[in-house]
Amino acid sequence: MTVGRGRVSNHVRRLREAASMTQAELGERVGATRQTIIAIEAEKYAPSLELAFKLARAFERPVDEVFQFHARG
Amino acid sequence: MSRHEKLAWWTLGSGIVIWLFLLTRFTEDGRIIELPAGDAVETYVQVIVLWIIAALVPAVLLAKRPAGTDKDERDRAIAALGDRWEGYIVVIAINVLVVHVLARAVYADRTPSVPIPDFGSTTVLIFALLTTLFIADAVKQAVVLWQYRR
Repeated sequence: MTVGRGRVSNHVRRLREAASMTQAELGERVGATRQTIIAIEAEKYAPSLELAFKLARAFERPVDEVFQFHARG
Repeated sequence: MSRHEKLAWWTLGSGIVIWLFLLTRFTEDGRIIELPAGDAVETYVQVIVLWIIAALVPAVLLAKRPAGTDKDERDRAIAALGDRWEGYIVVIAINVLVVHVLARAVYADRTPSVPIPDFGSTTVLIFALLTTLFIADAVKQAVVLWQYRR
């Protein structure tokens, strides 16, 4: 099976704001810098599987509720 | 701006300044001059010392920062991409040098239509190799900055 390049979107900003967390607080919780949280929220950086799971755990949500993969083509 | 981005700006800026210093010592009117061995060694040592100082300044300043500001996975991914591009530049530059030397040897009896540096000269070789390192590092820092700012 071939999976082409795609795009990863996420609901990190919405979930973080719902949890009343700052970007720095979320970053500290998952072991990332504030700049990385900013880049993830802006969808300029797709996190590793490990960080994606940590973020989902921080929001107490399943990972596919936080991140979505959109296949291209 | 993250501290890694500031470090990349510093490294790029200091690298350019050191390379300009090298340029003033090794060239005259846009041409590489044949330096006496003593002068070449002196310039080389000066460049290395400047390079070490340029690397130490941010290291000392960053050491005063509180814990918890280490690189995360994005910083490491960006650094790895920068390292990869630095490697590409070194490989390309070394191959260009090798092809130049081979071309000079193969076509020794012909006069080139464009001036080709003589890599048999110690000064030219030192300048070319150090310039390769500076260009490779500049490309690395440019890639890092582009990744942080895109």
